[in-house]
Amino acid sequence: MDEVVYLYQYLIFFYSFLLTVIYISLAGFAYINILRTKRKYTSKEEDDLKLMPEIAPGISVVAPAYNEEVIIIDNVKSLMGLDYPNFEVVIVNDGSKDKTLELLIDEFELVEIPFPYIQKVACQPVKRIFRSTNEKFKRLSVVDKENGGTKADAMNAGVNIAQYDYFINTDVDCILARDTLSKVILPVLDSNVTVIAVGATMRMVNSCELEHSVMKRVRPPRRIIPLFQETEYLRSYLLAKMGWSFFNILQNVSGGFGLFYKPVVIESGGFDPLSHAEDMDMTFRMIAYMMDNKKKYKIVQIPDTCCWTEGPPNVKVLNRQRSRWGRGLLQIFFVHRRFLFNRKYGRLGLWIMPYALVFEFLAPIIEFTGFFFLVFLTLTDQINYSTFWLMLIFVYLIGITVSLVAIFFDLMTKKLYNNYTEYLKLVLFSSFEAFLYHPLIVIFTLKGYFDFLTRKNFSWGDMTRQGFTQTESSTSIPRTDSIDIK
Amino acid sequence: MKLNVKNYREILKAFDLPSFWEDQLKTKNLRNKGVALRILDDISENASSIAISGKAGENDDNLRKHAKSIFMKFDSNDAFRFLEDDFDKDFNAFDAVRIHDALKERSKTKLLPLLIRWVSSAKNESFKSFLIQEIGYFKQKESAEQLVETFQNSSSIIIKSQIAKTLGMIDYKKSIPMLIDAYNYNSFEVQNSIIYAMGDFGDIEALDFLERIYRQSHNKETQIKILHNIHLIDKTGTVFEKLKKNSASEFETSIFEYIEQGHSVR
Repeated sequence: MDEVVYLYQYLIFFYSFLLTVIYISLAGFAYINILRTKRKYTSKEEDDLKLMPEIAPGISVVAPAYNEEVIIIDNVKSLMGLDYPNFEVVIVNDGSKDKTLELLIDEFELVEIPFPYIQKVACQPVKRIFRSTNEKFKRLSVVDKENGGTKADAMNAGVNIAQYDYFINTDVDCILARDTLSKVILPVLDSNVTVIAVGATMRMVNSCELEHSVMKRVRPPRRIIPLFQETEYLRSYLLAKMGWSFFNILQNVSGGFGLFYKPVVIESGGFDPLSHAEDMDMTFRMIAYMMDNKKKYKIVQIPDTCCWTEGPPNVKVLNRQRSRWGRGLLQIFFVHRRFLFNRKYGRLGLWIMPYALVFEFLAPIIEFTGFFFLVFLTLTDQINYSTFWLMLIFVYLIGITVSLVAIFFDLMTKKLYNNYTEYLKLVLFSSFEAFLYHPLIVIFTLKGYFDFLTRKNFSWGDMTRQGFTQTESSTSIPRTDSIDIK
Repeated sequence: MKLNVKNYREILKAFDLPSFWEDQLKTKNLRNKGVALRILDDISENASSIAISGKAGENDDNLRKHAKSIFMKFDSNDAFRFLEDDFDKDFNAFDAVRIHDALKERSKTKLLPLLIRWVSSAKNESFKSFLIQEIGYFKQKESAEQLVETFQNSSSIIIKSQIAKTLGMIDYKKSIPMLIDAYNYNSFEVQNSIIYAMGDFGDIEALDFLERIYRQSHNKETQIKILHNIHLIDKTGTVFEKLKKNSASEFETSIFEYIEQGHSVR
């Protein structure tokens, strides 16, 4: 028994040590990557591109909508107000039961058109396609389809309609920055290798000031859970993803916002409606397609905040969100197990999946069992308390440092909050995260694993979404949120 | 508010701002050099092309390529020298945007030299294709025959495809028989460019060809593109109507209606 106890303790020690080393390294590489990106792409490059519509690549903005009558009009107007010369907006009405479609038809003077629809990726039947009779809204197409129950299914319909080679995968309840399109297309242009996807920083829209769905004032969320999640997102996007992107081993382009290369998405079979983590699943399949066909590829992450999404306002919604992420993560390993440790899939098989397995999938299991092990050691009086406290404080401080570095990276990219007190709020709350927020994440993720393993025919159900109405009182979650892990 | 250009220039001169930014180019800090290049680009004619050309040997890819493209805007002696040797060993679409901008600027004051000169010497396919695209944009019809020759001798899909598009853009009708002959023996991408070129030509021969290939085509996307171009050329609407009457499926009918209503096809 003693040997097992010792072995377990050593395993945990080396696991934590490795994770710490990885995070410190990621912070270093993320820093270099952010500096490099900010040095290369400035507002001048963006403005130059905007002034040359004849050479700026076209981009389709695809946004599924399901029962979004409250926000649909303002949000579509906001999407059409994006500052870029060549783009179209494709709204997919995913069988809404409310007045989403009717409102769109009235507001944008839409009429049904005889669109020669070609189904390149599978989705539920498309019933009608609308375009506006008003020249002012010529960029807008609205697809009315049967409800598929998932964002993936609606996205596939959008992909079938989209006319440009690059498309943005987002949602009508996300707010995009006006200069988003020029920001995400610059790294695509600046590459000799095919860029199959580009991700950008997402943050919480809760408590931000909006005017007709246009961002007027960025604020940290007032509620505690979205506030924790804001820091968590900054860590995920600015530290982890920017770090991984340095080596072109980004594992996931977020489902809430990402630019995708349509030909590769189509060749990879489109978004999987059965996946609980359709964004990570899509990224994996795109990488696998490129590897199978021996084509070079790049997935880029940019540090700029391009998208605001609504964070879970309370524990109940957080539970739903994280359980789904947990289910999705486990499902990824079931569905794509052939990539794991497979040399043929290069970075995907030897780096991305093993990292996700050891440090993302196993992490909550290790933390959970670790807690009970600690109780056991306490009861059997096997703890050296001076070492215990030292280690605990060390780990705690490492956690806070990582958050501080992420907040610093955010400031380095662009100061979005009006004053530093608001940044201080993030810093202050990040010091409680380990006690108040993180245990919930562990429990909900494990619940997701359990759900996946026990419910054979897991149904998506009728996924309701809320907008960013700033009332913060609803209890549903956006379908756009994705596995944005540590 | 409109910028008073005269006052702006006087201020630049009074404070000797170009010299300040030229000095910044000499610092070791990459960021400062990048900022200086961008500002010199903005203040345009007052900047010295010598200071900028000095940066064309920089190790940093972005800075080096940026300097080369800006040099093209300012230099009065040998502005296009960096178009030799494929512009840069690391040429990409971002450089294409910058070069396009520089060429546009230069074309405002004086006629551009024939870009075909650099097409012949270029080795990098992407760069070659970009130059061919620019030949179309700046309507350098004098290069047409050489483009036809390059099309016939090249095996590269991207180059052939771009040449077909450019021949359409410069409206070189003499190339129609050659493109028609080449259609069946080329890749899908080149075929699509030929279809669009025919739409640009707007000739009866092109219309006949499009009608013929429409009847043979089994690819839905190609059918849409062909019909779109037929609709562009067919001023009387005879061919379009004839094909419409013979449409065999609901899908085909929807293409006709879609195009008739003037919706875009990309």
